[in-house]
Amino acid sequence: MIEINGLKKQYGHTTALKDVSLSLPQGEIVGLFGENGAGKTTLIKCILGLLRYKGDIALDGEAITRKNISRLSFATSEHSFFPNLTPAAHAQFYAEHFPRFSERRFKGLMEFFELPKGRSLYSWSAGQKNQFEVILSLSQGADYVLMDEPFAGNDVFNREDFYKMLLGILEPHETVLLSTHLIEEVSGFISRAVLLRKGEIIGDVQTIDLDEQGRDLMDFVKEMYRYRTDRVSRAINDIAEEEE
Amino acid sequence: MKDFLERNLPPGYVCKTELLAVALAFCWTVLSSLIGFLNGYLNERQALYFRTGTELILDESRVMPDFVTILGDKLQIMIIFALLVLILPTVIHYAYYYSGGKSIYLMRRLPNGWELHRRSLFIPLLYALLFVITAVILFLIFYTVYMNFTPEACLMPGQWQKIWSVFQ
Repeated sequence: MIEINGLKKQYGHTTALKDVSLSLPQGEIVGLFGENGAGKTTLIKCILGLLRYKGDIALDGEAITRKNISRLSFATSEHSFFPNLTPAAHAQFYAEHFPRFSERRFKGLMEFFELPKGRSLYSWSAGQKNQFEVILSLSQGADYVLMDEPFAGNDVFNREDFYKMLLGILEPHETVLLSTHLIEEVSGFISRAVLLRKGEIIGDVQTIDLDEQGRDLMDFVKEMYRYRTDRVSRAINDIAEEEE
Repeated sequence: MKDFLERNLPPGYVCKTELLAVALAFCWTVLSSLIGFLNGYLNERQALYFRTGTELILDESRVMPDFVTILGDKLQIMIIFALLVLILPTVIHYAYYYSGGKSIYLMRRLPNGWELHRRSLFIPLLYALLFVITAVILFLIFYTVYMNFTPEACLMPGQWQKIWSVFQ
């Protein structure tokens, strides 16, 4: 289990995360939602130790260090692969550094997404690069797969395929923390939703509980964000009145 | 060689330009040190002789300047370039992890914490070592030339000790 207690992160005078506490048990697919600048990426980067922070982050009771870092993997829309390498060279690199790298899952996903095997990644399309980033994170052999907007630029069919594939291949001990804006799209695939706003967790709910209450995820998110449904129509009216 | 470079440089890094630049810098520094020293040495050596007709006669009353004086800063260029080939490629190697994506995220979360630094620093350290070792070899060659080709009558004793006195 990943346990986050009192996590704080500042960029200069700007507070990115305020006293965030969160537990991520194994075997969940967690959606991490929030508007731009809510702190989603910062939270993920703090978990991975890519940013300095105040507070505690523990993995099964131990600090996240080089000893246990291979239990976490990361897929980011910024792409963490090497653009000049081929997929085979990436597989070799991962196999050398991550003892639980799954060659079988890597090959299976490469074939499923029909990605070009022999070409360096710099010549690939943005969508293919996103897919490859995700493939690497899922093949690393990590217990916790952290994904930060992994499908920015992919078409809807592609994303749909991926969600289905994800549900099919994940082992019971694998946890996915998926940061995305595509709330409605992932609502059927996640088991839990965590909402961030201005660096604070404002909602944390199991989707099964929402189902039992007969509510959908989007309504829950709007409620937590105190989203005013008449906001758009009022703005349009105001603009129209001014123009008259 | 290709395998060795691939294993010790950032993954996927194209090192052709870097190797060419280092090789050119190496040739230029070796040649300029060599030419600089030989030019200085031969001028001083020639000054020990005077000419009568077609014959060169050694003026035994003259004294050859000390080795350290002739050497001067001729090898300094090698040391300056040793630092340059250490610093510049290292900076470029680290910057590589931010180009075309953020492979730095992968490198920073590898279980082997040294991998990032090893792949960024090892080859530049070898470059620098090559320059330093070459500077030492050139120094020994220059010293051998000085001691063996300078007429004994004009040679001041204690040349080796004088070299060390420079560092004291």
